[in-house]
Amino acid sequence: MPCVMSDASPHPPARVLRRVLAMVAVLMCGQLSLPAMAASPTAQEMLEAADRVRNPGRPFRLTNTLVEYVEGQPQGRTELLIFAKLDSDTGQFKNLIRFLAPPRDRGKLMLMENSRLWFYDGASKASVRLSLQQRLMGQSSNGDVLTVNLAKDYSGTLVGEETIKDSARSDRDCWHLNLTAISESAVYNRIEYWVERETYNPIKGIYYSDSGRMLKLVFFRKYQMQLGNVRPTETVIIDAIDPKQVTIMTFTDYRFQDIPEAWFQRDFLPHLEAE
Amino acid sequence: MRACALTAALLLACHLAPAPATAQPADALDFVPPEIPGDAETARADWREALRVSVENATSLDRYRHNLVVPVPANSPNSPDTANRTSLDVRGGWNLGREIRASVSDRLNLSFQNDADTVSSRTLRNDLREAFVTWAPTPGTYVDMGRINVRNGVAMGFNPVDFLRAHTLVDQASQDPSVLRENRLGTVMARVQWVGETGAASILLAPRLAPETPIDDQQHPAFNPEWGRTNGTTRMLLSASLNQADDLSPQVLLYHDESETRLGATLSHAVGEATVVYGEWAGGRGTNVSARARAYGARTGSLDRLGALAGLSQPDDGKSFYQDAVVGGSWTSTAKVTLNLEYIYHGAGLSRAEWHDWWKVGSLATQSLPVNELQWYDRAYAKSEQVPFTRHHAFARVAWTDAFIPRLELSAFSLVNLYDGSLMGQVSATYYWSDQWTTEILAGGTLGRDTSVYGSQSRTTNASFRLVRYF
Repeated sequence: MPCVMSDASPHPPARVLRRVLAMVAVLMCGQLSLPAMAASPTAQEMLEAADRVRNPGRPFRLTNTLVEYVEGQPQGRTELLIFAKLDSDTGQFKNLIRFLAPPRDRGKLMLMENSRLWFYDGASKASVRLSLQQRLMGQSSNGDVLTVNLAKDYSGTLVGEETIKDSARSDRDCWHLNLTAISESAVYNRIEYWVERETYNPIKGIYYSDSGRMLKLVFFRKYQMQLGNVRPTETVIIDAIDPKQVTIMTFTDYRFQDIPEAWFQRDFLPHLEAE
Repeated sequence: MRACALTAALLLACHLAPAPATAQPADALDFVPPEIPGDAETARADWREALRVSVENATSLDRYRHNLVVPVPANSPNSPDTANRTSLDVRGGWNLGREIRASVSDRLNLSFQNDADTVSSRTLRNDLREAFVTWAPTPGTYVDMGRINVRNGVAMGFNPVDFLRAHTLVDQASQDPSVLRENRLGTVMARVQWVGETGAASILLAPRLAPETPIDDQQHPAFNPEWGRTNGTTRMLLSASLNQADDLSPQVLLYHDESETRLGATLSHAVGEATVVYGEWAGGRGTNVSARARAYGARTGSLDRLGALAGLSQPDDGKSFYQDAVVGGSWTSTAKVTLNLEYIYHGAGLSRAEWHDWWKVGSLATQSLPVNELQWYDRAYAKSEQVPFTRHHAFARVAWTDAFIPRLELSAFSLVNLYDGSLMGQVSATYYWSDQWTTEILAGGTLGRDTSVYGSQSRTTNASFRLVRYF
């Protein structure tokens, strides 16, 4: 699928941006390994554990390939190289994103550090500061789950224990959590979140707008051993408005990598391509 | 105010677009492709990862005013009614070792215009935008040598601190400032940059390599790198930025060339989730736009034919302290609409009285006189320097992504002269057919009374169609 903005636009390709942020949100939710849980963990502990399933606590990089489907047919493909590092001050991840595909977006870069969001286009040599709202620009089917460390931005309450269908329509015994935004950086006002009881693996999420409208339905699947833990390597994002529009994000090429702090500022962006 | 109306209509349409009913989650899995067993594959890099290659064809139509209040010189280059440009665009970078990287950006153009011979000196033209080598001797330290496009500034309509922009523009289909930045020539320089945890600093030196190129120069070899446009004078630029500083992202710059020294600064700040405000300022002792134009014309010989007339001084040709400033912001709606608004001040531009004199003097004759040639040279110089001809402007740009249908982007911008309300504007629609193919259609023009800043210009309307194939 195309990026939302012109290839010559001063703004990031919004479609890709949204995907990136969706992916980033997926990445952002973890720390190191799963801690031992009390016999009856609180909802917030469940959320923190589910976060830790997703991401390592050490700085790392990976490739995220996003394929958009319409009525089951692939329509567009985006590849991103992601560098992520936990900010010890905020508990959130800083992210650097390099666009590898589609060809028109190759060479574009994005920096996310707390509330600072910069986009850099190697063609125009322009660094453009973006608002947090621009994280969500683009087609809604790109369901970006993005943002943040969920446990940092949301307060969780336990709705109950439920057996739900995962993306393969298999039964999963889950805790059903209701997450309410407690941070300004939270992208969604509310999230319904299902965490598997036995593993703390996130299985499903439903994301709502400020007005309460359902935006995205998300499934986490294809759990594999990556960077020392079993993690979801695919995320399925279904547009709640038009469920024929589906985006699948596939995470590959995981690597631990030392990432200097100096990388997370706009003046470094032109040099990221060399990495 | 047609462009303003179009901008407003676009904004309104964004919010009137119907929202489909939300689907039920029970239906949602029907269109999900099944999970494919197997380990996640390692991404494979190939040659395309280092390159961005595209072929573009742009066809443009232009219409012109007649009986301008200030007649266009009879010896002016003809302005084509129709033109077609086909370009091969290549940008890439390659690591030549652990510490050395080479970067190239180039565009080869094949152009035809209805006012020129089928094959002329303008038919084939190569724009070597960048070609440089980067050496990173230590982490965070970068030494660059070669032709580099250095652009500074956070605003959109005009960048006071974009000190190396003058005379760098090459053929453009669009007048959108955000697009103009894409195709411009870099400057040959040596630059040392340090990027640390708390900020960054750089110093660059761009030496004089060739005599300055006349702004109306059309006769040059197809593969002329045009050093005279970018390195006609020796220049130096220092810059420093802070990463934190209360989320203001400040940057300060000090620019020096053979005729002036200017100080500049930029700030940007996020306000809530949807808004970013920003500002740019630059100031220094120099001359106004007309005096700069006459001096440049004298140095490059463009005004020699005017003899003593070319030596006519402007009332304000002595050095004074001139300032440029832009304040503005961007706001993004939940409907995927981004609006930029800016106020632009260019102190070296003509004042209201000077502008009045400009058209009043120019309108004394019905046929072009040498003084008219001088007047139009001033305007052409301002355009080449990419600065406003007068002092006060407002800029607005709106872009709507996934407008009505996925993959369609609509955008519009207008640059309004605050003396007389005349404007230059453009609307465009871009559709992304696939990851490889993009089309764009745009229409623009100038509006205003015949004595207004934009209404006095020759070109009244233009339209363009672009087709781009990426590889």
